[in-house]
Amino acid sequence: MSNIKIAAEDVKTHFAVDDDLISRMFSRGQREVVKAVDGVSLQIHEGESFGLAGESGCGKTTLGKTILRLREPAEGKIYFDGEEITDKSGDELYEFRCEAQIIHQDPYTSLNPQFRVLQWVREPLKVHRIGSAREQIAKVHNTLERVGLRPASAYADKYPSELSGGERQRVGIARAIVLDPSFIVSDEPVSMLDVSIRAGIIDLLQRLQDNTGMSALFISHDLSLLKHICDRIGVMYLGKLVEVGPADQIINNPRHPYTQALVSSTPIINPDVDRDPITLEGDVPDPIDLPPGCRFAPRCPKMMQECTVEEPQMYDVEGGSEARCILYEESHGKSQ
Amino acid sequence: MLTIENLEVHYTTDEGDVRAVDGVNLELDRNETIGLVGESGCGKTTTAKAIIRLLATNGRIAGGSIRFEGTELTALSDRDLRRDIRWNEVSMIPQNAMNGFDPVYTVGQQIVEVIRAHEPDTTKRDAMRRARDLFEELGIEGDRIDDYPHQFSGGMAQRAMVALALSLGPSIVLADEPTTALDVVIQDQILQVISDMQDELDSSMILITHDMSVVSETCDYIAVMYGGRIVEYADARTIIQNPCHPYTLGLRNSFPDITAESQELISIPGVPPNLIDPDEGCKFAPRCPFAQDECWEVTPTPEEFGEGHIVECHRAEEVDMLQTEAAKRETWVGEERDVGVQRDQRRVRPVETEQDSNSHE
Repeated sequence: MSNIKIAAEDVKTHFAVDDDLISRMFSRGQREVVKAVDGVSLQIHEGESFGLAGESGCGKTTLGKTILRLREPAEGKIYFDGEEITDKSGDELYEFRCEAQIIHQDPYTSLNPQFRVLQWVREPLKVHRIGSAREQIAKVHNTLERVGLRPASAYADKYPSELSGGERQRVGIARAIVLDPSFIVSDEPVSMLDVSIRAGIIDLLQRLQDNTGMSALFISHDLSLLKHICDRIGVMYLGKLVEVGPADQIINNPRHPYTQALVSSTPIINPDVDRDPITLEGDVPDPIDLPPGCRFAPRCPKMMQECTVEEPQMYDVEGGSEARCILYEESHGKSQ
Repeated sequence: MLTIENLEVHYTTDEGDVRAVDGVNLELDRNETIGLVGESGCGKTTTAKAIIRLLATNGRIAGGSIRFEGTELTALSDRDLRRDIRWNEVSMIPQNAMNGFDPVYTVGQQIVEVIRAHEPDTTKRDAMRRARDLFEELGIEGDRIDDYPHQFSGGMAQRAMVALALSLGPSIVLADEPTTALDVVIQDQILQVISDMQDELDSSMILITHDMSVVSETCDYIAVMYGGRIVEYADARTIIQNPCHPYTLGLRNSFPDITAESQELISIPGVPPNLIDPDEGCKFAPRCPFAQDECWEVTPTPEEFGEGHIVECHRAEEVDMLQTEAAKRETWVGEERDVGVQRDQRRVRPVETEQDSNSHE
């Protein structure tokens, strides 16, 4: 197995609620927190595409941002190239920022409308003081061509409002790769775009990865898409990974009941395949007041009594996956 | 039941008239579901809104006819349309339920308001009971009727919107991307609920979406729209498995199939057409790898290929060649380099009005 590019070890990211003065005065330090990410361990190998799936609110974006230190973890450790970066600051954090970048979801709001394309893509180079002005501009032009904005000179002086959604997203990608990072988080990179344009952006991201050997974390709720572009997929539910495994395995042979429900709810374009969706009862529980035991138990069609007692751990299941479900407890170590 | 003939809808803008819908023909029978698919700006929402005249203030029906059970809707006065058709007979589920509700009234009050506006004889109490029953049928606790919209989750708000759309037992439901903002688990439940209720009320639906897999599962027929026209129309299976129009082929290429072993996603190069004073010729020609001289010069007309399969393309007879070639990446990618040149073809969007966000009057 190749080297581990980035690793999270039992990372927790919490957000305080009711952060106003009065509630702080009366709560005596015991503040309610939303456990957006609540103990996630995950490793992404060099050159690998890892997909993070789950419903909205499950913490996948927060996890992606925490890994990049754009959110501070409450607990846990983050390693990049084998080095711990959890507490880095100043120059060391700068160095990490050169290596790890993010592509945002919404190309309509993530670009500053007052920056021309050239300024916007050049800014990271300025911040990190890389090259002379002439070199920076040449680099920007080169990057614009790489993301398919050709000829670069036709785009450099445009404002975002003069670009289509697909072009804006390409500008966002250019800004992320202008520093030649070795790791990229793509947070729903195509969900705001039209279907016919999506494939082009996905294709671009895949080609960039093939050409540079970058590692990538793709965050998306679209399992069909993740299956298509990722080597491995992790499924999150309420702040925890419930299943991790090779992409094909997760889609064709999901083991965790939540993954099974998720996969079975995904509409299929092929009219010859009959789908038999697993219905989940109820809503996602309140992330402030989590149920005891397995957090999926209240909605789980296979719930047993033991499920509400103790939080299950990750068990190895067949096909190289791991699932957080006590159904696989006995089979631990042997294939089912 | 519903017949749309040669419908044209124009939006007035500073740059000229945008021909958002440019000659659409569609027929909808009882208990039938038609899916309208296409990129944003292709005129699918405008077509639906034109039926019950919910167009933005700068939009107008410029030609054609919309007949509902023999009544010409385009000739009705606003008052008659509102009283007899809108919501009683044809209702709409908007895309974003959260924006569809008024935040300062409870959801129940809003449903009661709709019921009583159309049935003045119904008492508040009866209307409230009906709303409550509907809620329960849709899988929301009846007591939540007294909640405000912000107390609902996205999925619940969307269900409540379905309740509102069905509260008067309409014959036709226009569902504009009813599940696009939702997660798959909830999307699946809502689509199921809509189709159950549809069976119960024996009503028809026009489902607008860009998600090919949703239409493939939900709809009897699919109409693929491009540049304000329906470029291909057939039963769902034909559109998915045996499409003829290069645009439909391109859409299929760009849509990931979860059941496919391995699949190459190919995008359609270029941008949607400028609909202000469009030139003669096929609107898809600038992006079409199969475009010939004829395509640039002569606007294609709809032709029937096989049972109920209508295609608007000069080269549709060469379907085997189109299907084989369209599956290859080289066919599409070769043109990607030119894309940056046609830069000033930005789409002009209709002005958002209050009517858009409060379409449940």
